[in-house]
Amino acid sequence: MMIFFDPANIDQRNSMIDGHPVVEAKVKAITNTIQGVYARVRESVWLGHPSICFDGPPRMGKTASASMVRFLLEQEFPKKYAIHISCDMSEDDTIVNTLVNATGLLPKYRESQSKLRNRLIKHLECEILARGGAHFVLILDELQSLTLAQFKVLQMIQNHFKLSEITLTSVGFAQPDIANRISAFRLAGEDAIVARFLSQRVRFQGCDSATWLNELLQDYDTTLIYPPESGCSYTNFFVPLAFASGFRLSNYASSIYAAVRQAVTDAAAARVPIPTEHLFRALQNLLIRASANDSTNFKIRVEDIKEAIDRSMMAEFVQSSSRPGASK
Amino acid sequence: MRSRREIQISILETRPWAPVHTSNMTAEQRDLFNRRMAAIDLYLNGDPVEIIADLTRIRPSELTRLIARCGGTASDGTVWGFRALIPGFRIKAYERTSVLKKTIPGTRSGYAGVLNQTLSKYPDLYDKLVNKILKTRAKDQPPGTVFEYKIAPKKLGKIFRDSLRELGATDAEWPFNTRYQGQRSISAFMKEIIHLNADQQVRVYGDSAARAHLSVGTGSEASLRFDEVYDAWEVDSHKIDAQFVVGVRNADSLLSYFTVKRINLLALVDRGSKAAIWFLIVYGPEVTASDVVRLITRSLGATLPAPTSNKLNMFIQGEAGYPSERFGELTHALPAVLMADNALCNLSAKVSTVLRRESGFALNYGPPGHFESRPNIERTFEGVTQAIFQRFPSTTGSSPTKGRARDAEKVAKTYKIESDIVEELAYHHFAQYNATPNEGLGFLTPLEFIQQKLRMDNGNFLVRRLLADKMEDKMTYKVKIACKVIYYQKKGMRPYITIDRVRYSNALLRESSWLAKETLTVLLDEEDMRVVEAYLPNGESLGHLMAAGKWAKTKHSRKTRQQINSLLADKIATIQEMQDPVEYYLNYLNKQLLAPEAGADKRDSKKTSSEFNRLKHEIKDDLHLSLAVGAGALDGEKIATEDISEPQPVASSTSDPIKSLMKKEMPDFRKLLSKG
Repeated sequence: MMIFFDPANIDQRNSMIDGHPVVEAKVKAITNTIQGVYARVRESVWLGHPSICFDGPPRMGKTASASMVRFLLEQEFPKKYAIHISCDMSEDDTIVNTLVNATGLLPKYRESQSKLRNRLIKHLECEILARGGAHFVLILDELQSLTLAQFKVLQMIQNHFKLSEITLTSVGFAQPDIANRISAFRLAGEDAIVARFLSQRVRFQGCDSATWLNELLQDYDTTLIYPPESGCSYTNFFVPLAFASGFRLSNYASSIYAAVRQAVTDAAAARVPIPTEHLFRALQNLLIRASANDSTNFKIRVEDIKEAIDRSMMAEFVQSSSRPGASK
Repeated sequence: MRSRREIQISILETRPWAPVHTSNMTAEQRDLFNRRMAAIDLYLNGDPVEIIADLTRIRPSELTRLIARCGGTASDGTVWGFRALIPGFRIKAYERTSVLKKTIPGTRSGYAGVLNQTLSKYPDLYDKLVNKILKTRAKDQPPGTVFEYKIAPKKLGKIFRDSLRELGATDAEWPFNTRYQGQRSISAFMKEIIHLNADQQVRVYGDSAARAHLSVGTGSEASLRFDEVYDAWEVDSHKIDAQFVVGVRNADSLLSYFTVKRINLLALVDRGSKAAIWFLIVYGPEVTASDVVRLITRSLGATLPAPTSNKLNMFIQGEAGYPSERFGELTHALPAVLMADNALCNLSAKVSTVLRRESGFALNYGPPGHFESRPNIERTFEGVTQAIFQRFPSTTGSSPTKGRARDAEKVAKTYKIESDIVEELAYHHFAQYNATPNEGLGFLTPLEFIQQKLRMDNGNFLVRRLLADKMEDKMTYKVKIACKVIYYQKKGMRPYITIDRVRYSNALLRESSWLAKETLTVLLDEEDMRVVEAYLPNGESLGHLMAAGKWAKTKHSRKTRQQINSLLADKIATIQEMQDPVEYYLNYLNKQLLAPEAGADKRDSKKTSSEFNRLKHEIKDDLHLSLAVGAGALDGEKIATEDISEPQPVASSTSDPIKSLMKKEMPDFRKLLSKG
């Protein structure tokens, strides 16, 4: 149902602004990175590869990508069953428990791990077969936290599925620490684990060019809509007068990218990746501030961009993550 | 009286005499000297003394005196010769002959030569004083007599006066009749004795460096010469004192900091070319044998383990570098001789037997305490200390009084230094040093020197090289230790072993409860403590044991782990400094019991009282509570590791284009998204 929404109606806009994905920081955009990730995942899934693993620094949008990958897989391959879990579990937790929680299966009182695991495998088989497929995609976030023992459980599940002619593809998202895990496993002679779950590694690259940002901002200008089905793009929502007279956020992609790159390079004193999450926060600041100055001849000034970047705490994050002692 | 003939023979026996350089003499002195010399020559020629007197204006009596002076023996054992003819030249110390006259106390004149006169009167006293100064044993003293470290002139003066008293000197005699009791003469005497016995003085009072220097500059050639490239390597450690707060990457990739007051720099320097082969930084007060082994094995690798980080953003430029990197023929190359000092780490079996046998070089420890037998490495260390560490804001300088930075400790805590940075600094320093012209090499750089030597004789230079099949063993040098299997059946803890406060186990060991208390042989690579190899007493393999928890995650050395373990002391200190909440709670309950209104509600009071008793009982039973916390359960303790991420092959990045095998086009994401 088409919702009638007039962005120029300030009262109506103000009543809806709190739930706007930009304000709530819940923008679901298909960035170039997500496209790159998904292109590789669908290929691996289609070919039935056992695993693919993406690694990149924190705050690059890996978790958001993982969620998006699951969503897109379900849309494109409705017969394949995909689950997204985080491996950053507490010490007394296991991958089986995490999977049980993710599938909504209820553990029984004083149930042993082996029984729970068997029940989980049966349940997963049911879920897969109910979709009329034979493929299970397990999306593992924070893969670097998974211990050898947990990997072995995964291996066991995968072997079990193989007997039932079900393919398991694991899609991992990890921090660069995964390199240490891999070398430790190799040292311990656990090459089978490395080969199965960690052999295909792809570097997770965030915003790395003005083109990348331009495509994102074009989505803000056109395809990203709020309120749903209103036909009102994000840019139109915040600066309707300017939008009507031709203002487009994507026209500023180069200057925003240059300012962000500068801020990040200055903060880290080196060329480091742009933290995607903070980039979205900067855009959030820019749009919310712009809405107050909306007019037919509205233009974004360089100072506005710089201030938005400042308020996104991008430099602070880059500084703290590149200082000695920061988590990589 | 000797005949002229006898005198002539005795003079000719000692001739020729050393010439005297007269250009610095005044005209009168030169004239007198030349006339004296001519007189002696004429006398030897057999000219009559009258003619000699006419020609040289040297009277016969004077000539007799001069001949006697020239023929005398100097203190260096040679004849005085022409030296004795130099005008004003003394061949004998002043000898007082006159008896000391009575003087008014406090007057300064009239005491010339009185000390020497007194000492010649009492010859034993002279020997006694000299023995005291030079710490030499008197004839009547037994071997092993202990001497005062460095006798003070004042103390020597007292010994002198006491001895004189024993010998019967009276108050009317010198020095008792003077104001300073002869103290000034004794001080001057002491100085003179020290100057006359320079070597002995250095042996007695000099520091180790001075004592070592005694053996150089004697003019004799060293019997062992190492002029060719890789003839000999010098290895030594050098202590660098500064206040360091060094950060080491822990298992969470965060930095754990520890304060170090001393860093040891261990280096290998080629004797012939003076090139730095490789180095190692040891964070701690002492270098161990493992460090020496590690340094040498690392230097033999196909690629040197250069720092993986580049926090300083520095790059090796121009000719800088290390010999084995610059010249392919020096890869895996060994020296014929390893020149180490007598430090315990070098004397240990790991170096003196195992490493020597496996690598096939000779060891030359040199005499103990003689660092000058390894001059290049000592000079290199001096260079690196001055170039890097003494320029740190937290330096403690070269001595407690020299070059110490103000508030060094505070500065160190403010500007913490990461271990990676120390390594990078040393790496670049030595690389640049190898490309710096050296005066001792005719202003060639060590690398140029090596290059020319390698190209000499049509490049027929033969390098001693480790055999390829031995190389792998060398590079994976493992330390063997014995570990007892721990198994707490009642606590439900599966079998494990503990190495440096970390538990190790594997699936097999965890299931092998019968191995409890059994001693396993464990082989560990001290460079990577994540995994160790374990063997049963009969030699059967138990496979690889993995470290528990986060320790298994990041590569870390044993040294790192031990350093982090040393932080435990800080933890105990912190716990002791903190207020004990239980104690506060007890006080609170106590106050409630004693408060006048406590009686108002008997039930509450009773409850408080029982709670108080329970708590008191609990604390009594568990007095070691804080200690147990301090001792640190394994899981809770502060841990750290080096972040040595091994380079892993990464296929591509998400921004690279992908050549898909799928015929199906990529879906329209926006459409998919709007569907969701």
